[in-house]
Amino acid sequence: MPRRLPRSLAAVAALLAFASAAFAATSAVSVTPASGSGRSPAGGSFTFVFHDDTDFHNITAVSMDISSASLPTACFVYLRLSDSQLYLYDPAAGFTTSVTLGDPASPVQRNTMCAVDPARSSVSGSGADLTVHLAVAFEATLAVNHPGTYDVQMLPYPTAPAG
Amino acid sequence: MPIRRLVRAAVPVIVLAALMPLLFAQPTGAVHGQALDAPGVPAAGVTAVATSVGRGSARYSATVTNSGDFQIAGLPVGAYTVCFTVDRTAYLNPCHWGTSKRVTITPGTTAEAGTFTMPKWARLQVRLNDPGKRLGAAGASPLLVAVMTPALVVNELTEVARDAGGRTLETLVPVAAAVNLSVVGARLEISDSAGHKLPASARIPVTMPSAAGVQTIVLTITGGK
Repeated sequence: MPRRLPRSLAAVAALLAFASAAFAATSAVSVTPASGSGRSPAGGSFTFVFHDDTDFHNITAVSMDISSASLPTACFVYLRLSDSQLYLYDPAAGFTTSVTLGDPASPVQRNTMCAVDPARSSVSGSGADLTVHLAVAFEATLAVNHPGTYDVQMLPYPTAPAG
Repeated sequence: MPIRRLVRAAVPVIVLAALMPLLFAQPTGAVHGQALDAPGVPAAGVTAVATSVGRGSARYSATVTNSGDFQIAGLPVGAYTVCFTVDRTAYLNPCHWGTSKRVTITPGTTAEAGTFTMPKWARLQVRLNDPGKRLGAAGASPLLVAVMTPALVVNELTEVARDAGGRTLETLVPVAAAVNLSVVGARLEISDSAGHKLPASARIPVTMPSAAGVQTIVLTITGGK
């Protein structure tokens, strides 16, 4: 019996409201590609843009969550900018160990749903905008076990504690 | 007469200038909601904030009244999320510990954001004993000590005290909440108060006190770099 196409990634839409809700002068701007299907985004990575009204340096960390209503935190990544530490969340076990973004020696991080390659990922800032390139691949089992539409939630963390 | 001619010429300009705000005024609407301390008890005095979605997020706010109601008016049409500023209040942001609410503003109408119950906080502290002074040393392993909220906000604990024996970290968590404390120290050896060694990425279940107070977890860095 032929396998169905991975409908789980039929659409990856940016839900940016959450970010603006949480904090003052910071916001989530965009994710590219904003939609698609398959086990990885076109080009192999997602590009996330965050914004701070004053200066991107006011953003201390960001999180990006690619998930569905039935599978929250399927691919949740927390990136601390002060030391470029990337943490992938595993719904069953908590955060995986930390790795350094952009370090060729950093191993691929996996949970049961996705894999993030820190060596092929990067972060940069200019003016008010912070850009994160994240090399993500989804596990084949995701489409089989959890088909459907997946969304992206982005959250920038400003200098003040989240509270 | 030149002055009379000047006045005649100026009249249309003045009238047009007076009408400009009306010609270019943005259509606006409002949002209404309720903030409660507990069922039937208003959370008067806290500030409700409507934040527009997108780059540059414009913010509009109003104070919650004695009845627990708030109404934020003058919002240009569009999508907004409604949350609260909770600095130096008895509450945590309900959008971090529950569900954030999104409303769409249409001209001349009042959108309903519904009722928010403001979570009250207790302190979660982690005492990190560091006899080998491995934290903060050159080349030291990065350490993440955090609580993830149900709304997927990562609350990193912040340092509130430091002494010769280590550091104390803290965050605020809703009273009576059951949370998981994440401790990730890739190259550090960390033990709990019973002397059990934690895995490189540990998730410690914590139940907060039922009233404002402090819950302290004691950890000791026993090795690593």
